[in-house]
Amino acid sequence: MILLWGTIDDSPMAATRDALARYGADFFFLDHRAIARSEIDYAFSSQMGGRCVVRVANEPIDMSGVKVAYVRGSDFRDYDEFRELPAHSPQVMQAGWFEAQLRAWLDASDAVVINRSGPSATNYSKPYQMTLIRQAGFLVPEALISNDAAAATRFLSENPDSIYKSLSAVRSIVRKVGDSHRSFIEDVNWCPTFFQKLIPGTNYRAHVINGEILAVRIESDQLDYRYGKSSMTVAELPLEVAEKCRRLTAMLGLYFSGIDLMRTPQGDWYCFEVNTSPAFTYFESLSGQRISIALADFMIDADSR
Amino acid sequence: MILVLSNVANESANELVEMFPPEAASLVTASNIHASFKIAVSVANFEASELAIGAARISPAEISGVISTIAHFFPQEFYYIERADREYVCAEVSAFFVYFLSELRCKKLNPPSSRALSGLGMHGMEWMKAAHSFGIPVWPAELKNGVPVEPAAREDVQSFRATIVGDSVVEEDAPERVRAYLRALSRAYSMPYLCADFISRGDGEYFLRGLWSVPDITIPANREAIVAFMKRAT
Repeated sequence: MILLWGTIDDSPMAATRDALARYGADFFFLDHRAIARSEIDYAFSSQMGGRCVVRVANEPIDMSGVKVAYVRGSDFRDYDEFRELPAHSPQVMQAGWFEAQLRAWLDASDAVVINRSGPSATNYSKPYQMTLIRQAGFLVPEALISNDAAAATRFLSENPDSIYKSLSAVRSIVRKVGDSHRSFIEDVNWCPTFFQKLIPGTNYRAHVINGEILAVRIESDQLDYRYGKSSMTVAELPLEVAEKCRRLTAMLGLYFSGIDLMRTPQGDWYCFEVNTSPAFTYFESLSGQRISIALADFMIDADSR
Repeated sequence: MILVLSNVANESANELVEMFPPEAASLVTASNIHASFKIAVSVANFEASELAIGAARISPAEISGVISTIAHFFPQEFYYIERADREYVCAEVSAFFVYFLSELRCKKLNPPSSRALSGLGMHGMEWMKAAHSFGIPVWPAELKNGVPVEPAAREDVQSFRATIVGDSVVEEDAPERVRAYLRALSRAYSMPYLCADFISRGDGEYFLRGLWSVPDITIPANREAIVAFMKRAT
């Protein structure tokens, strides 16, 4: 059985569900929005191994039958029934424990999980991921992490064309450091800040699904293409770049990744980041590339083995 | 220098630092990072990074050991940051330390992972399955909505705790078989510190009941074992 765990108003989840439905695949959609009405039982013994049963509105689902899982996280504290509740209320605690327990079950299972917690968490630290990106053979931009305004000022003097962005997975708009930002440089003293030398070139996004590469070339009027007028065309990566994308995805322990690349005018390929839970429908809608179909194909194939 | 990463409320962390020679260890908490842990880290050339820890200006190579007693930072620890920004600062500092600790080439108790500042951040359920795969007997466990279902108390079993630090088991009376179990898991997962609860039925077999990988420094014997481990390592 294929398990989909997320919310239907999340477009990658909806697109995947639609693709599986069109194929007539055997899948179960576990609605994260029903978490307040969901329960989970787990038992383990040396004789029996592990057993996990989820109940949604008293309807049991045996998790032992799950061979493939696609998980898209949501924050249940944003749901109406949780929004006003204090962090230590029984309802919030139970929802948190439910999430942790089901996640742990999937992480420990033999199922194909897209993606497991450990590999997914590499995206919580961009510099941590950059070490692995470099090990996979990609170039990475020169960068400084500092909570020392004087050191940041020195880096920016030496690299006047620099950008800043978050270190963590918290979404931030990639911006070039300008004169107006320099007047706030003392704020760096309060929080480690990530400065990176600007790499000029053309953006590419490669989605890797179990070794298959689906890449697009992106033209945009903004440094951060997600926040500008952008157009995308389906692209084929050079063989060695494609191979590095596959290697990197495998090194991170991912079945599905979204890799941000930059090709410089000199033909060098830089990698900025690997998204471990790609919001692929944005790229699908602008390029026409059928990423959801490729993902569904992979899941059905893995389920049939 | 040895870095002790902890929580400002954990008084044992100060005691641990004081067990090392003066200036040999430094306590780092979310509450003092902005003042006494200043960094200029070069991602392309980590060894050339500059660190100012307390009054000492050092390079990463001069850090000889890390004792990380926390799995995560919490937003409320960043009390000096405006409330609305604490979650962001917490995520950024956490992202930095996962990277920084990973890059250091020294003994770490325990090494960080993408999921935790100390150890693999594995759920008990994952540890039980891992132990089972190593042939370690596991005591039956039941969880309901994440909460352990406690079985009825049994008079015919005894539970006890065993802790490994490096190759040494802290509890002197720990049975040899339990020592072997801990050594096997510690080596397999490259976690020099592991603490486990076992159950004995009195028949010479021992069943794993729970396992933790974040060093508990509130126990004096653990602190002594950790200091001895670090001295051996350095």
